[in-house]
Amino acid sequence: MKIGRRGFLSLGLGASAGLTLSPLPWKLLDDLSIWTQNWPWVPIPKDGKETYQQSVCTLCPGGCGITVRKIDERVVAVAGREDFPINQGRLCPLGLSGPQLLYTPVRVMSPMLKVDKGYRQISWERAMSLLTSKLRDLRADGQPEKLACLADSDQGTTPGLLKRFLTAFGSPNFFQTVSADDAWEVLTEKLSGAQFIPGYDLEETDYVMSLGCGLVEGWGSPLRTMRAHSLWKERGTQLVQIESRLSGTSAAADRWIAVKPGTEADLALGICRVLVENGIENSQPFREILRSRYATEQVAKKTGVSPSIIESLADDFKHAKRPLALCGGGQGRSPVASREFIAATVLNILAGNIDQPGGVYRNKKYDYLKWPQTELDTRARNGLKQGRLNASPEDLFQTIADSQTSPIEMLLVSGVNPCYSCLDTENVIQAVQKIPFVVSFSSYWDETAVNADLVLPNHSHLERYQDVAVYGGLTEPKMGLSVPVSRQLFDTSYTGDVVLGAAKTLGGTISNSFPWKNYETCLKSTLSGQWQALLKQGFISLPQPGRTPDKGSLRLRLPKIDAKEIQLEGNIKEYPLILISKSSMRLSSGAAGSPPFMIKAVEDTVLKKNMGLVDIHPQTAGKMGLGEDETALLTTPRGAAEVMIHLDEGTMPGMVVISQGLGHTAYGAYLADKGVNFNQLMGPVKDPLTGQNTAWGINAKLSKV
Amino acid sequence: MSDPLSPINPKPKKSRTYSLVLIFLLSGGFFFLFGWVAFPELLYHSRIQPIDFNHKIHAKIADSGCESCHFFRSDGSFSGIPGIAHCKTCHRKIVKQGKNEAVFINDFIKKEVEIPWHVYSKQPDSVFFSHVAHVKTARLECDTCHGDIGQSTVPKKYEVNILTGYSRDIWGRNLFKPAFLGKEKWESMKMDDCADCHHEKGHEATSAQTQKEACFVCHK
Repeated sequence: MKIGRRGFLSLGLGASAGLTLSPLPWKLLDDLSIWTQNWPWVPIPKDGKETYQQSVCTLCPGGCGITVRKIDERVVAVAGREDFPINQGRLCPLGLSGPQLLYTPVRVMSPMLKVDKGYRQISWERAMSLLTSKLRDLRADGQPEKLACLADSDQGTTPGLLKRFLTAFGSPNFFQTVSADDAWEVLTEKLSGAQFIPGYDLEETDYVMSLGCGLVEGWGSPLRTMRAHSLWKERGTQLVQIESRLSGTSAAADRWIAVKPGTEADLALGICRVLVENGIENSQPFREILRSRYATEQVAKKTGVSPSIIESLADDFKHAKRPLALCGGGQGRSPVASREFIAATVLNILAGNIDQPGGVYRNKKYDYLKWPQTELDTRARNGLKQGRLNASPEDLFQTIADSQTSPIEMLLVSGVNPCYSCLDTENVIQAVQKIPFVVSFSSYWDETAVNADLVLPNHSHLERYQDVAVYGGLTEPKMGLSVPVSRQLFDTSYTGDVVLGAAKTLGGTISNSFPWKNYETCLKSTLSGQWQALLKQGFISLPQPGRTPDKGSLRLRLPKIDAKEIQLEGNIKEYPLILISKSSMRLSSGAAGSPPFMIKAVEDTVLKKNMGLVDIHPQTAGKMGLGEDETALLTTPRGAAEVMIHLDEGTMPGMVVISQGLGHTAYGAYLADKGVNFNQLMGPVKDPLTGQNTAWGINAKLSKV
Repeated sequence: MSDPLSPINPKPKKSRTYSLVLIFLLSGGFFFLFGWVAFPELLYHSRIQPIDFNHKIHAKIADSGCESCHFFRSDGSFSGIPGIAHCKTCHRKIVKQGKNEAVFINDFIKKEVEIPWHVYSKQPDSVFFSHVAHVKTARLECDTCHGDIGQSTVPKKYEVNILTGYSRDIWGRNLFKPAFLGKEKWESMKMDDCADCHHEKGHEATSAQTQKEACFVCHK
């Protein structure tokens, strides 16, 4: 039979009809849609046994308990631990991004030595021999004090070992980035003759007067504070936020009092005066000062807050059952200006809430590093006699920058990133580059590691044992134990083991001062009585001996309660605006750089493509002819940077606000070159009473580009 | 003037039409059968289960029915197909002297190797299914979705779709049997089957949190 063209068509039509009435085309479509997604190069996570392991997060001083989900050996997710007292199941974006910090390509994967073009991977043997030979040379030259160390704190076994090493070696130059907790101790000593770290009973208060504290932006132990804030909403606890801008906390508060920048303490003292005038009994000698200098009209003029509001605030404070005043702007991590602390303390004294429920508890730092006395030889004694070079890291870097040759020969950096976090950053980087030999223990290629001569990476936060003491405003300070939830992925080593190894090699009294085989042994023996409890529960409460409700009186030592104001750097004529920073839970401003999860969540009013934005009132912007999203040059006495404008009516006219946590230059493509580093534009300003850096802003100018 | 034998005379219209229709029908019929019969043969390949597991014998000695081996852990997760650790509780050595048992002991128990079962109900990675929600909360019987496996003496025939890698039981062996004509729930396990049962039971609020339906409830 001849099949012509029509026949062929008929064949085709028949085939189509037949196939269509069969499941073939439908099944094939469905199956192909699955097949196309399962090609070999499509990444599919391997299935495996699911387990949960508990630990404590060490990425910020908050000390939250975490529960880590693993599939076989892979860490898959981190969540907050329900049964942990500090955070009670909550966790912040940084903690949640833990797996990204474990697996990031930005990790330092082995000891790295700086060579002509970049860094070369070396073995631990070679790295240790290099380190110890340099240390030996320094000692042989009779200049052990030229070894310096910068650590994140002086609490904990690792910083303890570093500090002990420097002492045995003969160097007094152990520095720690001054945290709020350290600052309290200096302040409280000066003010009352006794050191304490304030613990705030946020859970029991019914009225909170906050002097600019970023309570929902990560204040104190961030998740604990946020939970307290939720409790306040449920119970009707009043929150009064005294802050010059409409921050998240201001928006969440029951009352937002917009004071002129830097005058929070003035308002607080003005309120104190009204309280004292209205008969709040107090036998302390500040009545006169309050009366003479903080009259309501004077305070109203200074702060821009009307007298009636000042009176009403005092009235509310007086009638509250358990009022509480809080200080420590932003996340409360850096030292508070003495003026602010005094003002808040006077308020709390007048409230009668010292060591009372809903008030301020006087917590003591609990030194659990009960190690035997460090052995010293003559060299060490001579070195230690020289005394510490400077009072603070900022001063140290300034001294180095100002000197022809660096007075420090060798710098060890552990747990901090000064080439990003220190103020006047450009200057600090230059100083670090002047130091002949810089050793970084960072787990990541951060700004300091890329300026170091030798990088000896510590295990990352999910791979190590670490003791973490948490004071941060907690009513009852705790100590948590971070445990390894992941095997060590790379050729990294405990910083503690590097110290112990170097000590052993150097021998003599140095070696004698370190009787432990390795870091884990040292940690176990240091925490011996508590080790089992720590492994089981993850935390213990730090003993606070001598705290009784009777000791509720806090006498202020100083006759003068109004310390001098912090003067902002910069001539007002040349720099007519005030630049301050804002913090956010979406960005980490500490040693851990924000991982991709967090950067992706940053609003486009903070970061647009790679440009950092600044908040400015439309009035102020209008005067300078600047509009939304326009580029401008932000200049301060310490530096300049290109920014984009964001018009925000919540920012007081005359102020510029920039975000913390941006402007990294290291940490890889996900973080580098995004936005501007606030620290680079800032310089330290010493508190007149404590000498610590309490700069809260700097004068600045914006100009068209 | 039409001469039937003239070479230029084309076939008469009627017979041409018939032959076209015939071609259409033959072709249609051929491909129809191809789609229904040949295609499944080409698409599905049989796989033999590693062990000829006899459910009936084990069900007899199981105290708690299916849950003796397919149980909920204390955290609410479902154990699925038991690993050899569970089998070992009885089969540390030969129990019944069967040929299958010998294979089981020698190839798996002694070598500490997990049995590579071919799973009939394996769903794609994108699917989240909670056994506890369906068994404990909704009180569905195991055989509602899985069929009466418990009474089988040999494993059901396992056929894998060579394009997708999933079992034939997911799409369903009996394609042209709509629910109203008596299709059993356990005969297929695709999304529409889940949706049909939810619809039937009037439980469309699949998210416990929001009390609404949403894609991400099952596709996390």
